[in-house]
Amino acid sequence: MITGFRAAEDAMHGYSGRLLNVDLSSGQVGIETFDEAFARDYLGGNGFAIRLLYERLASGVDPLAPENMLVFAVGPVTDTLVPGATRCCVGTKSPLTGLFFDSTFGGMFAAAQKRTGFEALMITGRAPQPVYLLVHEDGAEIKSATQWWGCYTRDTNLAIRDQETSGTEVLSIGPAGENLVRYACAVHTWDKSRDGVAGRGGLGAVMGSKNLKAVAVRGSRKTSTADPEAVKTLLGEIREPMKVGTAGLKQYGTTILVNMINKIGALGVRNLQTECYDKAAAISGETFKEAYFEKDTTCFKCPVACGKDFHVHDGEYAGTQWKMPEYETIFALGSMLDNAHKGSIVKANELCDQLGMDTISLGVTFSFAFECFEKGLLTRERCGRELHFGDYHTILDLIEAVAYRRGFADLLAEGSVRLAVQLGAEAANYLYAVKGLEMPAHSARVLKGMSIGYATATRGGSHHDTRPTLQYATDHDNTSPAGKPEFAVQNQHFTAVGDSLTQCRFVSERGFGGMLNEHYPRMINAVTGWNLSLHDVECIGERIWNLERAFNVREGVSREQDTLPYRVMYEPVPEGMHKGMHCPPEELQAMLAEYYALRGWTPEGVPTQEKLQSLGLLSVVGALPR
Amino acid sequence: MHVTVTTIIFGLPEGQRLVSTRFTVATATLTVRELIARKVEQEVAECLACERPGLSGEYLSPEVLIKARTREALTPGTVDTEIVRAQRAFAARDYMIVIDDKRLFDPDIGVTLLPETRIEFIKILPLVGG
Repeated sequence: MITGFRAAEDAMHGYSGRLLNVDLSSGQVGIETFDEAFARDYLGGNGFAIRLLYERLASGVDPLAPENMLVFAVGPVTDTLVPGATRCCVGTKSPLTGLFFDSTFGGMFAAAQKRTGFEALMITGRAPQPVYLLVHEDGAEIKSATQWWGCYTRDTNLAIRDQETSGTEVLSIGPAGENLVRYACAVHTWDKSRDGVAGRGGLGAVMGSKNLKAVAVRGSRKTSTADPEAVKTLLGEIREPMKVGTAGLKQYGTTILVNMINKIGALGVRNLQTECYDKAAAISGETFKEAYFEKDTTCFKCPVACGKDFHVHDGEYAGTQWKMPEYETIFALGSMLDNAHKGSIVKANELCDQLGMDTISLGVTFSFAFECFEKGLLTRERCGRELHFGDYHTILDLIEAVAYRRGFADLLAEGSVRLAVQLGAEAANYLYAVKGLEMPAHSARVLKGMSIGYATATRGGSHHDTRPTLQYATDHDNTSPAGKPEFAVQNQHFTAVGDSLTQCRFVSERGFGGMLNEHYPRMINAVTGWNLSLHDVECIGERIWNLERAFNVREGVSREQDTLPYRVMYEPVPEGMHKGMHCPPEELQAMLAEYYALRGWTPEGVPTQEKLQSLGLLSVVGALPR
Repeated sequence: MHVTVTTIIFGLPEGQRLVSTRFTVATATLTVRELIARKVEQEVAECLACERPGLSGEYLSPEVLIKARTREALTPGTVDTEIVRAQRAFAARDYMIVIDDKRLFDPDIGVTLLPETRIEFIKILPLVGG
C-alpha cells in the first residue's frame, strides 16, 4: 500500500495529489492521496499505473478476474499550456499477454479527468449488473448501464453524455468487450472533434469482465503551472520543428506512411509473406484523402490536427461516415489481408470502433488465420466458410462474428497465439506476435532497432515501447544490429516518460524530440516548479521501465520470452529494397546479451538487486526470481 | 545513353511527390558522384531554360521543402553550387540513391546502367505516426 504519503492537495503545481479507488464488487469508493516524492518518482500516467498495479495486484491473477485492476491516469502537464498533453493512460494486466499493459487515448477525456482532481482512477472488482462509473470532483458514483449493454460504443458514449450534465466525457466498451474478446478496446467519443481509442492489449475485455460498460468524467478544477512564462518560452522554441515535423501528418494523418514504408519494402503483406505491396497506391493516404476526406479533427488543444473524418460517397459502402483508418489499421485490415478495397477498410474500421476491438490484433489474427487456411491448417469445415486473402466481405463478416464470438470466430476472439495452439506446431511459424500481442506495421525484419525493441517490449508486439520514428530517417542505419540495443534502451526510457506525462507521441517526437533531451526537464520543471536535470528524467524513465519488467518477471517472463516470431528470425524479406533482411536467432541473442548488460540485468533478463536499489525500487519490488 | 531518374519525396504537405529527370550519359558506367552531378546539371539547365518548374529538391532541407510549398519555389543557384549541395547531402545521407532496389552509399562506386535500370533518388521528410 502507499502509506506515509501525506495529502498534498493544492500544495503541488501540476498535480492534485489525489487518487480515486473504486471497488465495483462492494460499491465502495475511496479517496487516497500521494505526495511530491511519489510524483517525482513516477510522474503520472504510465508511471502511476505500473506503480499502483505492482503494489496492489498479486502475481498470477487472471486478467479477467475481479481482482485485476484498471488504472486510468493522467500526467502533470495534462490540461496545461503544453501542447499534445491530452492523452489518458489506461494500465492493467492484459488478457492477451498476461503481463503489464498500458494504452493511451486522445480526445477530451484526459482533460476532463484532470479537472475532477483525480490523477488516477483505480478500479477493481466486478459489478453485479452492468454499470458505468461517473467520476466528479467529490468522488464517484456507480450507475446502472443495463440499458446500454449490447450497444455500440458511440451510441453509449453519446447517451451517457446526454444523461449527465454538460462537460461530461465518456469512454465505453462495445459488444466485444462485453463478450471478453481478448483484444477488445475502449472508445472515447468527443463529438466536437477527434475521438480516442485505447486500442491495444484487451483492456476492453477487462472492463467487460467487471461489468463496467463505461467511465465518465466531469470536473472544473484547474491545474496550476509553476512558471507559465517558462512554458511559453519553451513552446516558442519547439514551434518550428513541430510545424516542419508534422507537416505531412497534418494533411494526411498517419496514413501518409503507407507509400513511404511500402517504397522501402517494409509494409507487411499477406501475413508478412512479403513486405512490398503492389496495390499500396490504392490504399495510400493520398488516395484515401482524395476519395473520402471530409474534415480535420483534433484532440483538445492540439495544434497538429492529425485526425480526419471520412465520408464514403460511392460503392458498396457509400454512406459510411467515420474517422480515418490510421496507418496501422490500413496495414492490419488492408495489406496484411491483401485487401486493397479502400471503402471496405473504412467500413471495417468503423465496425471495429463501434464493436470495440483493436484493429491491429484483429487484422493480424485474421491474416494468420487466412494463411493457415491457405496452408491447409484450417478447413472450410472448421471455419464454416473459406478464408481467402483479399475477400473483404469475409473480413467484414468475421469482424462482427468475432465481437459476438459466433462459431469459429470464437477462436479468432482469443487472438492469434491462442488460435495457433489449436492448430498444431506448424501454425506457430506463421504467427506475427511477441509475448501474445500481435505486431504492428513497423517491420521487425527491416528495422533492426525494432527487432530488439519488440523482443524486449514490456507490452509485447508494440511500437510504443521502442519507437520506429527515428529509424525511418535516411541517415539512420536500419540494417545493422550495431548500437541498436542502446538505441532501444534509450528510446524505451523516452516512451516511458512520454506515457507518464501522457503527452501525444507525435507532438512529443516532432516538437520536443524523439529521445529524452533538455526540453523534457524544462517542460516538467516549468509546470511543476521542480528542478529536475535531464539525468533525473532519464532515471524516471528507467525506473518505470524496470518496474514494468519486474511486474512481468513476477508473471514468469525471462529471456526465453524476449524473442521474435519465427518468420522474422528465419525467413528473409523476399523482395524489394530490403530483400534478404531478417533477424536470425544468433543476432537476436547477441543483441539481447548487450541489452541486458546495458540495463544491469542478469543474463536471464531479470533486474538485479543492485539495479533496483539504484532506482529506489528495492522496497517496492522486493526479491525477484533469478 | 538515355537515363531517367525518378525523385520521390515523402512527407510533403501535398503527400508524396514524384518527379522525373531525363538526360543522357556518355558512358553506361559512371560513379554515383557523376550520376548526381549529371542529374543536377540537367535540372539546373532545364530550370534556367524554363523547361521545368523547379528543382526536384531531394538534397534540400525539410524546412526549405515544406516552406516552398510548390516546386516552382525551388529555384536553383549556379550549377556548381547545386552540385556541391547535392553531393554534401548525399554524403550526410539526407537522401537515398536506390538503383534497382539496391541502396548505394559510396559516392565513388561505379554503376552500370542499362535501359531498364530503375534509378530513384528518395527523400524522406521527418515523419511520424503509427
